[in-house]
Amino acid sequence: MRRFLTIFAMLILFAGSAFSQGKTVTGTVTDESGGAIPFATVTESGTKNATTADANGQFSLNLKRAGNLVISAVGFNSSVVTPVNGHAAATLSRSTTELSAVTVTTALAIQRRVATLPYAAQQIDPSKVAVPGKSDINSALAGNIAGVQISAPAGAKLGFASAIRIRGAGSLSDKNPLYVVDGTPVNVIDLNMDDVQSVTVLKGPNATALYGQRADAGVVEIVTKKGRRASGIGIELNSTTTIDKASTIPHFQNRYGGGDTGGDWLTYHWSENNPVEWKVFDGMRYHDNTDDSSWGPAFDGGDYIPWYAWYPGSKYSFKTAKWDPQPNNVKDFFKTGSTYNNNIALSKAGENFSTRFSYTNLYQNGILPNTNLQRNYLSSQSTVDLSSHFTAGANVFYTNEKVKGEFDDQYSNPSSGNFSQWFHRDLDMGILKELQNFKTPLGAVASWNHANPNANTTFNTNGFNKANYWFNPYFYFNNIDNVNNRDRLFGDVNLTYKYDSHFKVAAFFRRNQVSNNWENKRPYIMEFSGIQVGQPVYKNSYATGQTFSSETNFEGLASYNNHFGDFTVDLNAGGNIRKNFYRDVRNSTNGGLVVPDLYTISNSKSPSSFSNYREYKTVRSVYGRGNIGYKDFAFLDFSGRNDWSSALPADKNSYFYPSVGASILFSKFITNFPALSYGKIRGGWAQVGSDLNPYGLDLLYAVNPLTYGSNILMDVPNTLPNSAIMPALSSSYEAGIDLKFFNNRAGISFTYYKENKINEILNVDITSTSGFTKKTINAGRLERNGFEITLEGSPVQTRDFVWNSSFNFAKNRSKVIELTPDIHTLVYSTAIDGTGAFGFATIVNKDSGATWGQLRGTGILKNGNGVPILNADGTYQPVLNDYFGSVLPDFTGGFFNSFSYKNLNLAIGIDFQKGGKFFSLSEMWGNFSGLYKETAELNDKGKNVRDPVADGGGVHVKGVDKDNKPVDMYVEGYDYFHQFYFSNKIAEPYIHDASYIKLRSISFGYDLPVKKIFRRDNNPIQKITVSLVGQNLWLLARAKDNTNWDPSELGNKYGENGGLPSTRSYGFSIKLGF
Amino acid sequence: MKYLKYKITGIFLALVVLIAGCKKAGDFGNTNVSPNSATVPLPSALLTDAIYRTSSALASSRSFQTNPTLYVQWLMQTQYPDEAQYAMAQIDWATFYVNPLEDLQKIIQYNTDEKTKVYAANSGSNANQIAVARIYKAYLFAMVSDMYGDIPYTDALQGQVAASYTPQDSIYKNIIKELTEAVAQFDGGAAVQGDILLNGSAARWKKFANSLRMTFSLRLSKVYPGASDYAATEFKKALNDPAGIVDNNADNVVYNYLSDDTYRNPWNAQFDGRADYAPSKTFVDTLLSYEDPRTAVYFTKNGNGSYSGIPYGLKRDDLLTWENAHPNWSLMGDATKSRTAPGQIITAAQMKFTRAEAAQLGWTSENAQTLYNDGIKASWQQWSVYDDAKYAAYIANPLTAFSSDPIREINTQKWISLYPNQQFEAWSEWRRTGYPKLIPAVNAVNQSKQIPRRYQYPANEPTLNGENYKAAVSKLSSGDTDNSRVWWDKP
Repeated sequence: MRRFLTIFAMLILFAGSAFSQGKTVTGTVTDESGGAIPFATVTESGTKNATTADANGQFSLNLKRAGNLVISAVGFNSSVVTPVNGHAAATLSRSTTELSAVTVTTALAIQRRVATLPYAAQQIDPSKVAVPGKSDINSALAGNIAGVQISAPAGAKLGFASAIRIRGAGSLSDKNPLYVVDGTPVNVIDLNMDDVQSVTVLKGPNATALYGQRADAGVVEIVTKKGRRASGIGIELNSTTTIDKASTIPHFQNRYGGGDTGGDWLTYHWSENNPVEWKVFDGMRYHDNTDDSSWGPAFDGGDYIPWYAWYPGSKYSFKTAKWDPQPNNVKDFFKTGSTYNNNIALSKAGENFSTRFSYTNLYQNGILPNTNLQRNYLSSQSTVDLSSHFTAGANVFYTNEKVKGEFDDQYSNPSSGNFSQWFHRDLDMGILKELQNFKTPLGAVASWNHANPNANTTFNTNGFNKANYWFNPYFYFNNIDNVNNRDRLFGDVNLTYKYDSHFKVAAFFRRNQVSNNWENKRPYIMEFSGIQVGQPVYKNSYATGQTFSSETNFEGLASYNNHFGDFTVDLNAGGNIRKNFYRDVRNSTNGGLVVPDLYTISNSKSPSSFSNYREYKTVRSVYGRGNIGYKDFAFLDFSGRNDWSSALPADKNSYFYPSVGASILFSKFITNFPALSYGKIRGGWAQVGSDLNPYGLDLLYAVNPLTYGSNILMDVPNTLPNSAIMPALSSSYEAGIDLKFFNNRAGISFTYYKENKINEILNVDITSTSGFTKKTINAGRLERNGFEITLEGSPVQTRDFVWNSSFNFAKNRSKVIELTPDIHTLVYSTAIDGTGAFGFATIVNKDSGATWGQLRGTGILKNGNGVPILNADGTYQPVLNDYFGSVLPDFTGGFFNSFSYKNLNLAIGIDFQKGGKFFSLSEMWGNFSGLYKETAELNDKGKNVRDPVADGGGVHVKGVDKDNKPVDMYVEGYDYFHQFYFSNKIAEPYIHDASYIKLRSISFGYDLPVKKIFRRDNNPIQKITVSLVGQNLWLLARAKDNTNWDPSELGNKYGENGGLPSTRSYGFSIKLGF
Repeated sequence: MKYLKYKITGIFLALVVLIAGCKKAGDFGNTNVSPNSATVPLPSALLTDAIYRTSSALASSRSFQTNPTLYVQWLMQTQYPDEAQYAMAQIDWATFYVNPLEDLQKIIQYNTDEKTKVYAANSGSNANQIAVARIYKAYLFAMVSDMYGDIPYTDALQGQVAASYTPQDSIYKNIIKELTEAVAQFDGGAAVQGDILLNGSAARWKKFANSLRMTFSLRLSKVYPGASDYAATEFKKALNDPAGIVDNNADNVVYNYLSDDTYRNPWNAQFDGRADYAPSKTFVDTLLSYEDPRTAVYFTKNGNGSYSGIPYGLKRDDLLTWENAHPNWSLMGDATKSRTAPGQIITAAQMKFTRAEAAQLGWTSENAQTLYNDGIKASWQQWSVYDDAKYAAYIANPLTAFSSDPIREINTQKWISLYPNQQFEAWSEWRRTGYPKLIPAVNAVNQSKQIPRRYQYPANEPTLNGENYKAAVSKLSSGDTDNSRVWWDKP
């Protein structure tokens, strides 16, 4: 032992003396952002003496003369560096002319050269494509990655993340992709965009096989920024302020006001029982306040008694108003929202450490009254070389979020569900706002929707004092009190032992935990002020709950890479233990509160409701992958993974799945076509396996927390489990080609894929006559195929002016080939008897080759020529269970352009989608209620459709009668627009095409000439960029049959139920670098 | 090369560790045992659930709580008269099949299966539990079948992915057989636990079963009219069963609602805030013209101190015009919609009228008129409005006396007595007998413009159980509409 130490000490001394003699030089090669550039060539200047850096950009070279080093790497501009004290750190700038060395982050956060990948993995740098501010990762991907379809929540919904669908629907259950941040699986909403270095989308099983079916909807690999060497002190400040405005609001009619009187006025006759103050109204007209539709009298500018004039105590009391349209009343309701995003990041890196700290504060005021969001992000990423072999690192992210308000966007919700489903078109929002706390004589808060006064009404009449179906919306939002507090902590601690430049092992402890704490309060004034408003929902009440979930991963990964003659080898082997835990406790009062507005569970009038639930799951895995390259042009790629899942039957809980692929850089052999600078073909085959949720094998009987007297209740669950469930295995292949031309000024990438998903584990709807609504099965076969094209280029590239452009296009078809021999359809339903959308529309997957996601509902009966067969009165006849087509688009894509002229930068992002169907429930009810434009338009005779047919009005209807004889007639407008709900809920007129083209983002930036401004060498500010930014700016085009909705922001898979408006945001951003 | 050796050794050792670990990789101990739920249910808790779920199913949607009350014109809608104008919709039956019917199926299964029956017997003797479950299942299946006609019955509740539709005549015969067998199955052993309906009393369950048998037999009067036909025979057997029938109000089968919000009377919840329904003019005027003492419990007085109903079947704008001109109308009476107002399932009055009709049809030798009068008396007593003098006047009043058209009179009185919680029984009996005479909504929006005679099958059935659905629909005279008649409903 002593002898060993002596030798060791000598070795160190020797090494030290070697450095001092300047003969051996070690160093690192990094890109501009501090990331390692693997396999760079390091040549001693003026000699043939050279070496290759390793995968981490580290190299060591014995110098023949003490000269400079020329560092070159494919995809980067070469650089000459002078070693100092035997060390050389080279930072290479990215070259636009060489691409075969570009790396991307792949599964398990492994950085790999694109050239070696057998699949498409598109990486973007969000700072280049995303508008600063509120955008999240998903909206940064929209339009920039081929095959990504975005579905964003309406901008009013603070704290709700957008969702993406990669390559259409990849599974029968339409899952979300897996998000991985620096190797840790996490919910993406809690990541601050200012901390993101790059985002890579891994699309098919070929790319995601190492993660298993957890990732079968794709993986979004996010790499965060790390500390980097900089000449300054490494401080960055980013500040963005945007304002948000409601943009897409349905087209309403502005010819008729509220009520359901068939256009007639009501006349008030004073009686002795009525308040004496109303005598002034005797003989005057008023409209129907009780009914919440707009089939009332036509606007004529004359005097009438408005809803608020009946009550004493306001400046409007007992005064008439003018019967005028209020075309902007809905628009006026939605406030101008604002978003403030401020970030400070500190970073530093030295020879053996790098560290970065970042803090962000996000504050948003929503466009709905009394809604706001506060989020704080704290993160730190550090690595330190403990010795030449050991590196330790930690990445820690903490997010706290507090969201206040209500964001309901379903049927009959208090904002859009009110305005676009049941409303009076005559309402003046300014007065509603002014009277939001105005109390009627009984002490209730008045609403526009109150009982009509009659001969017996006094100031004490209940129905007259209180809201009938609807509160004043301002009153509602000011009193609803929902708060959700979320804390998330995620990240990892890692230790790497680097044996030498070829072999290393790393261990990771990863954790992602989130706790939610929520409280909902309904004040007594809401209970008191409503007659029929959603009772008993608005009873004075209190509900609170806590959820906690965590995922812990223990991961080990060994990596080996080397050259053997013409061969390169790159191998990983690893293992992982994943533990998931979930816990949920909730409580709510029932039947009101005994002591008004005392918000404790013990104050419940009826026994309070409570529940608690917890769930555990463990998955153990071993896996390996490898890549063998030959002469740096041919690469063979392979992987295998075996999982053991606690959720599967104990005797069948192990499953293995492999993948294999290859890529060839054929451009190396094409010399007679100089325009081609890079060419690669690739192909691969992969399998993925999956398990199911815990406790899914046996029928489990839960105890109902509310006992009937002293009797407890247990019920048979609605889902029939399957104790013989098998792990799912599915396979796919993809092939593609990547080409670059004219020194990489232009490029094209094409990928074709075909996937057969088999034996997917699903809970399918079965006939409820079975005693169950769902059953767990291994389901047949889903086939999806499609192609993706990405075009990139720099059409103009001069010293001062650069135009970069990228276009992507993806076409996908997902077909359900077979489910099981005895199940041929899969219905998406959420409730026991609910099919969503008020029973109008349901999404169904039919087998035998039907496209995924068929929209089903009641159609209009037609003859063989597609002409409607009309009833004698001109109304339509229903066809039950008609299919209207798939909700999936035919193709999606995006077009991104950036222009820079000297210090000015302009970036414009557009995305589009063609096809796909959706259903609008708001239009159905809005037409039923006479709110939308078409319910008050002129017909082809120049009369309003609301005018009696006898006077030339009515809706013009053409069709055939039951004997197939042509019918051409007019139907009373009221009857026409009411028939759809009455007659088996005909959905067909409200099914629309979801095509759109959207101007997603614009940013216009200016890099201030810092050196000129400060005119001194040691000024601390190195960079100032100011930008004007805009997001979600303009729906450039949508399908002709869709005039009211933004198809990229629908609240439900089948469409919308009461959708909130889209928001348009624009603002100002400043970035400072020190 | 020396290093390479180390590396290979290292990799090898790592692999050995991994493979050694793999042996146990698949052993997760109790990880997948749910901490939240039991794998074996308590049958008594399933029974409580089944009984409660029936009441909640009947209150779960307009389809079940109010549509039949509109079809028989007990009630009218006050603001949105969609269903009162017979707006058509496919109606889901899952709230019956999934729970409570599957709960009952599991009670039978756990009390039958050798492995579980010993444990199950803690909730009452196996035989008693099975008998109770069979009776209650028969009650539920008959109600669902009366709504739709042929429904999955023989194949149902097996967790199957497709179920054939059993013809309604087979369903009826099997239900009557089940009821007969169940009465004989009670073994005198430990009383059934968790029985929030009849408190485990075998005697009362037998009376319930026999009463159901009579009710269902009479329902077949149009298809088996003869006095010695199947229906009359079964009717007499049930009537003469030594275990007896529901014959006085103490025997009434009622669901007892509790005062707390979850288990309160669904009418109380319906009118907690909203007031979408009110007694229809048809119903109120009938009782007023009869000077019926039940008027005071069935309805509240309007603001003018009198009783008035809303004209049945008006459309929305006409309704508004009427309501503006008549700002006061009666609401459902407090005794019918208090938190704990009981929910009738079988009553003595109903059984008297049932027997009166059977006697009138010549099925039995009982005295129809006596039974008719007893039925009125029982109903008045049930609602605590009985008064000797009024009763004497009532049965003598030409409008209400048993006289010229007994079938009409019996069924009109039955219609009154079933209010407000036996809505499906009232709708079925109206369909069967055509009494009382009702005028369809003048602004009917359904294709037939007539009062619906059945429910359309659930929207998911054509998709999930397509072949069987198609076969069932092909047997319907007007397809899957509200105008096709169920098997026992003959013109």
